[in-house]
Amino acid sequence: MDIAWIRQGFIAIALLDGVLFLGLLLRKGIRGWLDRGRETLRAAYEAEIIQGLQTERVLHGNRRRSILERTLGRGVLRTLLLAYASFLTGESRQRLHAVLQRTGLEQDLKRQLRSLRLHVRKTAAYEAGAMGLAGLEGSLLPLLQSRDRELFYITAKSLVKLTGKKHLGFILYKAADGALLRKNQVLTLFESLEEEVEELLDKVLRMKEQPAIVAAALEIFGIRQLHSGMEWIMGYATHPNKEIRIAALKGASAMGDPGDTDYRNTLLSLWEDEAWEVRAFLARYLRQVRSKKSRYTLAKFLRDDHWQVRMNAAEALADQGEEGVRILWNLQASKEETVRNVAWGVLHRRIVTEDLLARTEDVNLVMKLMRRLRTLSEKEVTVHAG
Amino acid sequence: MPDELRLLEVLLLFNHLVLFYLLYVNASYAFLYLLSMQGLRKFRRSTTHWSALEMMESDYTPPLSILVPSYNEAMTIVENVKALLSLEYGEYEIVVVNDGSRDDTLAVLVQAFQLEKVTPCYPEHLPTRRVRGVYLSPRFPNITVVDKENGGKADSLNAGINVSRYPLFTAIDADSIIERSSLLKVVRPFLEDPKTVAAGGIVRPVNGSRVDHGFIEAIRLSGSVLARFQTVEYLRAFLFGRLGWDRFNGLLIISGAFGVFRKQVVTEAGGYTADTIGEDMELIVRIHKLMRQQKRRYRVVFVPDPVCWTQVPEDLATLRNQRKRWHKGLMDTLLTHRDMLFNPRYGTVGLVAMPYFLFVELLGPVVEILGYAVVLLSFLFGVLSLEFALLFFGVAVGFGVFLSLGAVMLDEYNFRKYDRIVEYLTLGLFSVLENFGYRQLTTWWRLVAMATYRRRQNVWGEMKRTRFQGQEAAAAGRNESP
Repeated sequence: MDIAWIRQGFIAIALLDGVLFLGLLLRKGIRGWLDRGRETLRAAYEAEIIQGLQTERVLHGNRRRSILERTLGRGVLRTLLLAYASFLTGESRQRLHAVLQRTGLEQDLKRQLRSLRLHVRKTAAYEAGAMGLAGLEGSLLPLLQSRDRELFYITAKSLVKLTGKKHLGFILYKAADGALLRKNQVLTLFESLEEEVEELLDKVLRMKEQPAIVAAALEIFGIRQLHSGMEWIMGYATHPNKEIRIAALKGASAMGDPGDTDYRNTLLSLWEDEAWEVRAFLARYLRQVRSKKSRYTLAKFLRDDHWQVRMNAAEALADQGEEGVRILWNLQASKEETVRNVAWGVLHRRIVTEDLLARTEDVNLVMKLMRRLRTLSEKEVTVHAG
Repeated sequence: MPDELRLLEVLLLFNHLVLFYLLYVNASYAFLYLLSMQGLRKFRRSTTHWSALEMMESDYTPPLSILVPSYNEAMTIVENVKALLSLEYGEYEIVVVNDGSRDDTLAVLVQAFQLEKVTPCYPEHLPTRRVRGVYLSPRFPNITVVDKENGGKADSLNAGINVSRYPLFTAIDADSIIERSSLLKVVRPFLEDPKTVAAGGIVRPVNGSRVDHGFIEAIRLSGSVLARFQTVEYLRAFLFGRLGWDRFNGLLIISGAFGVFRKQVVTEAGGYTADTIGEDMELIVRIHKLMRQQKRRYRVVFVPDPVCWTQVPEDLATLRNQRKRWHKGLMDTLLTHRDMLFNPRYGTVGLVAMPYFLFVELLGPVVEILGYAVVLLSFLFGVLSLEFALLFFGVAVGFGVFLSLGAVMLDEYNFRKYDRIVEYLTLGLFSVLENFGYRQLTTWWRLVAMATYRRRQNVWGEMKRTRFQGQEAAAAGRNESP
C-alpha cells in the first residue's frame, strides 16, 4: 500500500475527528446558551399564561421582543401550551385557545397539517388533538384518507378528542375497509369518549365484518355495560374466529349481568371449545353466574388440561361466595393433586390478601379452613418473619 | 526457499489479512453508524406524537411484571422495591426472587412489606431449583416474593417468570436504577407493533451521579478514569451498536439489566439458560431461532431513550472479571447456536448479525493482538517502515475515535443527559485516550477469556459496588453486560 495514500487517510481522519470534537463542543455551548434562553422565556411566558388565563390579558401585548425571543419564542410557547392543554378544562381551556389563535400557533398547525412531510403531519395532528383545537377539524378530516396506519390512528384519536363521536362511524368504516386499526386502537378511541355509543356500536357491527373492530365493539358493549349488546355477544359467541369468541366472553364478563337462560346457555356451550383461551375467559365470565350449572362447569374446569383455565375456574369459584368456597374446600378430597393444589392455593391466597375467613359466615367452613391453616407447620409459615 | 523469505511472505500475507479485516470491521461500524443515525432520527420524530401520560392512564396498556432477582441484597432491597413502587406505569406487579441469599434479604422484605407465606399456586412452565415459598402482602397487593434455593440469576428469572401474572415482564437488576418513565417508553413498541417480542433500553453508568431513594437526582460524569472510559464504551455500544442492529431486526442482545419480554414467547423458547454465563444474549438468540424456525413474524426492538442506570467497575480486577465473563458469555452463545451461523434459514440473524459477532466481537481480540505482534515483527524484518506502521495505527485509532465521538455526538444531539459542556469535553478526550492502553487492556482480557474458556462454566465474578452518591449502596452483587 502506498504510504502517501495512508498518510492522506490519516490526515483526513484526524481532521474529521478534530472537526467532530470541535463541533460537539460548539454545539453543546450553543445549545446550552439557547436552553438558558428558552428557560428564561419559558418562565416569562408561564407567568403570562397563568395571568392571562385569569385576567384574559393578551399574551405578548405590545412589548418589544428581543432577537432571542423572536427566534425561540414560538417553539417555547408551543411546548408550554401543549403541556398546559392536557391539564386545563372548561373556561381556562377556552382562554388557552384564544391565546393559541392570537399567537398564530393555530395557523401554524393548520399549515403543518398540509405538509408534504409525513412526520410533520403526524405531529400537527397529534398537537391539534392534545391542545383541543376544534377549529382544525376540517384540516384533520382529509388525513383520514391516508393509508399510513400511524397517521390514520393519530388523526382519528385527535378527531375523537375534538368532536366526540361525530366522525367515529366514518373512522371505523374507513378502518374496516382498509384494516387500518388494531383492536386496542379501536378500544382506545372509545376510551376517551364520554358520550352514548350504543347506536354507533350497533351500526359498526352491521358494517363490513373486520375482526379487530367487531372484537373491540363486543368488548366495549361489556365495558360500558350496555345491555343491548348482549344480543350481539350471544350472536358472536360461536363465531369461527377465536379472537371474536374471546372478545364476546370478555364483553360478557365486563357486562356484570349473567343474562337470561338463552344467553347463559349459549356462552356455556363454549365449555368444550378447542382453544384454551376461550375456556379460560368462559371461566372468568362464570364468576358472575351464580347457578349450580355454572359451579358445576367451573368444578369441571379445575380438571382442564391448561393451567390458566384451572386457575381462572378456581378464582371464579372463590368469587362465588360461600357456595364457591365450599366447593373449593370439598375439592381437597380430590384424588387429583393438580385440582387439590389449585383449589387450596387460591383459597390460601384469598385468606391472606382478602381476609376470606372474616367474610365467610359459615362457621363450620371457617373452622375447617383454620384447621387446615394450622396443619401447615408454624415453622413453614413464619420462619422468615424476622 | 530460505526460511527468512518464507517468514517475510507470511508476514506480508498476514499484513494483508489484517488490512482486509480492518476494512471489514470499519465498514461494518460505519454501516451501523449510518443506520443508527437514521434510527435515532425516526425515534426522535416518533416522540413528538406520543403521550406518556395517555399511555399510563389507558386501560389498554398491557400490565407488566417486574422481576427482581436478588442475592445477598439485604442492605438495599427494601429501598429498591420502594423505588419500583413509585414507577410511572399503569398496572404492574413486582416479583422479587430471593435466590437463596445467605444474608437477611428475605427477612427484611417480610418485615418491610408485612409479607405472609402462601401455598404456591402457579404453572411451572420453566424448570427451576426448588421454590421454598411464595410470599404475598395484604398491604401491597402488587408485591410477590419468591424464596428459592440458590441457582443463579437465570434460575431466579425463570422462577420469577413462572410466578408472574402478566403477559409482559421485565428483568431488572436489584442494584440498577431505572428512570421513572422508562417502563412506559420501553413498553411502547409492544403497543405499536404486536409483533414485538422483546425490547431493551439503554444502560448507562450511574457512577458519579447523585441518587436519592432509588432515583437519580443529578446526572454527573464519574470522576473515576475507568468509569469514564466505560461511559464512552456504553454510549458506543448502545447508541450505534444496538440501534444499528435494531434497524434490520438483527439485535442479538438485550441487556439483562433492563429489557421487556413477551412472557409467552420466552416460555416457548425455554426461558433463561442456567448453565451459560451470558444468559441475556443466549435468550435473545434462542428467541430469534425459535421465531425463524416457526416462520413467525416478530421484532426484537431497541429503544434508545428509556434509561437504566447501573454501576460500572472502578477497579481493574472487577473490570477484568466482568469483561472476561462477557466474552465467555458471547463465546458460549455463539458455540451453542453455531448451527445458525451462515445459515440462510435464519435470515439476517444467521447471515449478517451472527457472523459479525463471530468475526468482529469474538475473534476481534485475536486479530488485534496478533496484528500488534505482526506489525512489530514486520517492522523488525523491514517489511514495514516505522512511518507506515505508525500511520496505519494512527488511521485505525482515528477511526475508533471517530466512532466514539460520533456516539457522544448522537447522545448530545438526542438526549443531552449531561448538562455541562465540560462533561462532553471530558467524554471527547476519553474517546481519544481509550485507544492508548485501555483498549489494549480490555482486548487482552478478552483474549485470555477465550484461552481459558470452558463450556458450561457458569461462574459469576465478584462485582464490587461503590456506594451511590447520596444513598447506601450494595457492597457486593452482580453486574450485566451492556
